[in-house]
Amino acid sequence: MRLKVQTIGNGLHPNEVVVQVTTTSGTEQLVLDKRSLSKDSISVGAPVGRANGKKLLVELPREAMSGAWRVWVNKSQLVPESDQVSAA
Amino acid sequence: MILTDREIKIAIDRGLIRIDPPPDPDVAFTSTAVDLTLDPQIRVFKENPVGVVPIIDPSTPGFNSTDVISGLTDGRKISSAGYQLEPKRLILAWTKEYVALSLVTRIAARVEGRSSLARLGLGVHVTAPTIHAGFEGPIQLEMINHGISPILLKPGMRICQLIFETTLGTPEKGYKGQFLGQQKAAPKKAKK
Repeated sequence: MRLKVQTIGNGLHPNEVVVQVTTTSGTEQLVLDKRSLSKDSISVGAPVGRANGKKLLVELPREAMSGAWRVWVNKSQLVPESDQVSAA
Repeated sequence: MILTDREIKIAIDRGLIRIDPPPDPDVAFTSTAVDLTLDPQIRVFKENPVGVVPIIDPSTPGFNSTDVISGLTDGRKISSAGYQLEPKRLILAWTKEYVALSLVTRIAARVEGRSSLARLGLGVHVTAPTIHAGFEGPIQLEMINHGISPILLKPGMRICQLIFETTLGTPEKGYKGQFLGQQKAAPKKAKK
């Protein structure tokens, strides 16, 4: 699965970007290599947990700035690998 | 179990490990690791930051480490003449190689120093060596000169080694949609 992200700035290396992920409890920020981004989404693999039918637990590809690796997101934040999000 | 040079090459051939540019097959491998090289881009911590240096509180909601580090460091590109890392100084650096580990792989990795540089006092990471499945990008290095003499860092020099290990099983996120569908089926009751 791919998780929708919003680019919010540049990273410390020219190849890095800072992105923001919308979770069920707010937002998380993490640094990624630009090549990980494709049409405002990143690959997160399969969800590792599910609750209330709408919330899915996903593992981020890198540790977020808060220290979190696994975050709860709404189902609407995920798209299949083959159905990437169009650029806004 | 740690992968040998043969197993690392097989995993690269199968696309489970991606290293770009690819390591030199003759000299970049050792029996149980592959050497990576230094990217010219580094971040150097300022010696005298302007004003009072604030205490960093990573537990602050919305804490943005990139903004904090940007304010405390200057970006530099190491020329062919090299960058002199003074004793007791910390810099941030990256490998020249882009490394990607497949999400479905049973392989994780650890970045470690090279003994020839460690003897001079050069540390290449600060307690965060693990590369998880699904990682993509150059590997960031937190480099400190623990020695007593300046060490000259040059772009392209062999700076660290990557050790690959097989995991016991596939991580949950490597499975196809265990939690994507409807509720998990309740365990069947045993027949009386």
